Order: sequence, then C-alpha cells, then structure tokens
Amino acid sequence: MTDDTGLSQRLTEVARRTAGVSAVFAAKPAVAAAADALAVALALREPDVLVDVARSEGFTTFTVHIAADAATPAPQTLRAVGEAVRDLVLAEGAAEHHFAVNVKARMIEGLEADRHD
Amino acid sequence: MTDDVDPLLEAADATLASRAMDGDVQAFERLARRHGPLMRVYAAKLMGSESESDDVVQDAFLTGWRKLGDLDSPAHVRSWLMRIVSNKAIDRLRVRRDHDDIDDWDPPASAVRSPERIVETRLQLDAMWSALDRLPGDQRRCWLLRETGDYSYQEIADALDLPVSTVRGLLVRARRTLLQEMEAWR
Amino acid sequence: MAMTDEHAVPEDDLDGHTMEELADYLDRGRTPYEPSIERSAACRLALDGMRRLSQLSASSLQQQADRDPGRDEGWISGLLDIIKSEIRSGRDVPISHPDGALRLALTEAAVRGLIRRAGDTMPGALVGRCALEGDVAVPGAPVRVVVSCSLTFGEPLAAMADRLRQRIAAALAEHTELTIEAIDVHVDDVLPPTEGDA
Repeated sequence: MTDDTGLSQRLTEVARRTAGVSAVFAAKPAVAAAADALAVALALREPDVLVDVARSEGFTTFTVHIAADAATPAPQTLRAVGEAVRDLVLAEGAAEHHFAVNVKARMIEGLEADRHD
Repeated sequence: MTDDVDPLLEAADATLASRAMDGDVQAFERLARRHGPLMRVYAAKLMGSESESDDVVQDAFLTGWRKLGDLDSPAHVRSWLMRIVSNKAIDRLRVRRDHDDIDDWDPPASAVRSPERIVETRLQLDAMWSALDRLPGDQRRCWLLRETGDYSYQEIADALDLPVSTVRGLLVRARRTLLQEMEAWR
Repeated sequence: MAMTDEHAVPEDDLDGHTMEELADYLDRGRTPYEPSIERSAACRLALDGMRRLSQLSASSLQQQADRDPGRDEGWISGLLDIIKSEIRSGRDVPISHPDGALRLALTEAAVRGLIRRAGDTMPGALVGRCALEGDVAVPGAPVRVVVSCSLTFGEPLAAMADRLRQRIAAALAEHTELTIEAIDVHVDDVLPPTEGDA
C-alpha cells in the first residue's frame, strides 16, 4: 500500500495557506474513516493529514474540504485551493497520468453584520 | 460596536427546531442549552441516579438530532425531546432492574428542615425537591412521568410494567403524601 | 392521634369524591363542568392544592436545573462534537473552473448556512426554515430560495422583507454561481422590539 501521508500533509498545508481559507477539514467522513481502522489510527496521530488521496487503477483523486472566509468570494477561494493543490501535485509528479482535484466548501463563515452606526 | 449577541438567544422553539431540521447545529445547540438542564434534572430524579443523567440526556438529544425529520410540528420540539428523555431513562431503569435488582433504590433524603424556620420561596422549592426525594421510588417515578414527562396512566403502566390500577393507586398516594408534606407551606 | 402509616390511604372526605376523581377532573382542564365538584368547598380546596403541587414540582425541578449554569457544559459540548462530525451536507452546489480536472463545489449546507447568516446579521430579522428549490447541482438551472423568518416590529414589514431579500441575493451572488430565479420570504412572526433595540 502506498503511503501518501507526507503528500497529504503537504497538500493540507498548501490548502490551509490559501487566501480565503479559514479551516481545512478531514475530507474522509468520520463514518467512512471508522470503517478503516488504519485511517483512524493515522488521523489520530496526524491531525495535519486532512486531504484525502485515493488511488485506483491509474486514477488519483485528491479531496479537500474547507471552510471559506466570507471576506473573500467563495468561488475565488475554491478555485485558488484547487489550483494550488493541482500545481503541487504536478510539481511533485505525485499523480499518475489522470487525476482529479475535488475541493468542497462545507461552510462560509464570518459574514459581517449590518453596521447602522 | 459590541460583539454579536447570539440572535438565536431569544428565538422561539419552533424557529430553532425548523432551523435544526435544516441542519443548523447552532439552533439545536440553543435548544439543548434551553431545555437540556431541566431534562437532565428530571432524568436524574426519575432514575435516582445523578451520575447516569448526563449520558441519558446527551443520548436523548443525539437521538433527537438524528430523528428531527420525524418531528411532526417544530412547535412541539420540547415535549418531543422530553418524551425521548423519558424513554431513555426508563430503558436504563429496566436494565438496572433486570441486572441489579435494585428496583427501589432511594436517594438519601436531604437534610430535613423545619418548615417553621424557613420562609422564602426558594426554600419552599427546596422543600418540594426533598419531599420528592422522600417519596418511595415507585411513587416518585409515577409522579415524575405524569407531571413532568406528561405520560398518560396507560403509558406509565407500560413503562414501569405495572397494572394501570396500581399506577393510579401510586399516584394517589404520591399526591397525598406531597400535599401533606407541603401543607406547612400554605 | 395515631401516627400515619406510610402506606395506608386514608379515607377522603371530599363530599363523595375521591382524590383520584379530582385528579382526573383537573387533568381534563375542569371540563365538562362538574357541579358536584365545583360547589364543594372541600373539593375546590383539594383541586387548588393539587394544582399548586404541580407548579411546585415543576418549579423545584427548574430551580435545580438553573442552580449551576456550568453544570451542563460537559454533555452539551460532547453532544455538539458528535453532531458536527455527522453533519448532513446535502447536495453539491458546483463552482465552475476551466480546468476539467478541478471539481469545485459548495455543500448545500454551506449555502443554507450562508442564507441564514445573511438574514441573522440584519438587525430585527431571524431566519427560520430555508430551502433551495430546483436542481442546484446543475449549473445554470433556475433555483428558488424559500425562507421563513420572524421580524421585529419596527419599520414596515414589506420594506424589511425586501431588505432581507436583497441581503440574501447579494450573499448568494458573491459566494455562489447559482441562477436565482426568486427569493420568497415568508414572515412567520412579528415580534415586539426588545429593550436592546433602539
């Protein structure tokens, strides 16, 4: 089994540093992860391994879940994260020929209140 | 400008329940904070166990969250959650009865006060609280399920595995005892 | 006088009625009107005592619940941790990108949260239900937003509803690529102003 822990960690870091990202969540849902004891053990040991890397028959899928900060338009943030992840994957030659990057914003936080004064 | 006052703080139960049904965790949190403490106290009194009450009420709210889709009307969320708490507490009582046979576990009565020396309302409520503690276990359970849990006689009978006639008798006794105990406060 | 035996149920002297009957009568909300109960001073006294007992019982539990405000922090935070880990995300609301290898989306839950937040941050408004009708997963498909809300009585309701609609529209335009066909605002409730609002 390939160990993508280091790669995931670097991808998590690159997502976290992207402008407009307020948090990165574990992309593997808790329920699915629970079925995979190893993933749980890894997740417990490695809180910075949040980007999911799934390899299957020459196709690699990278999945990133984020919280977006309302100060930046969410589409802009999503695109920036997607591009940053893609660029790192390409730079490292981390994927075989075909790959996809899924970026999902699970929440948009920090919308400002009306200021009447 | 002062920081956000939580706009949900004063929202009606129905509003909070509607939002929770849409997946709003904060709205559900508000419901838990608003109603959970009383339900925890109720569960503790019903089971005669303070230590298990946190588990019961947490488990009940979790069930509530997962089954919000079954709630017929958001305005009834409080009694719906209360019902879940009652059911969970009764389940625990059943397990305990089956395993430990300590059906009539009674909590130690709080220090008995002399009513004449106590005049404040708050202390009247304390007196009621300890009067409930002094009730025999089966009477107390019937009373709480009826008064706080809003159970029918039949439902109490089913929950406690007792004939309805016994439940009626226990409630009469409980009521009479409590009336006598509280007579001094009139 | 003899000491009361704990288990004996003494005879009731309630003008021919029993405590049990009176309890049932009270449970029925004292309807239908029962003259033989209502005209008996002893019965009325007993009914009054029972009602008071219910109130005391409820209040004594409430008092215990309010006694220590931090007491429930433990189980509530545990509850929220579990709930947050199993949030229902709903459908995916896609965001376009010229590179086909990038699949970008907001969760439906995120969009609803945005709508609620857009409403809640408007003074005097509180959003209730919030639904996205239409195929949000298909780019360009017309979507209708339906929200219910309560408004604090102050300025004309129509104006407030309009403002709420505009805030939601603006937030959706900034943060999503949805094609919003309409935003229906249903005012469920009008609340009196609270002391905090000037």
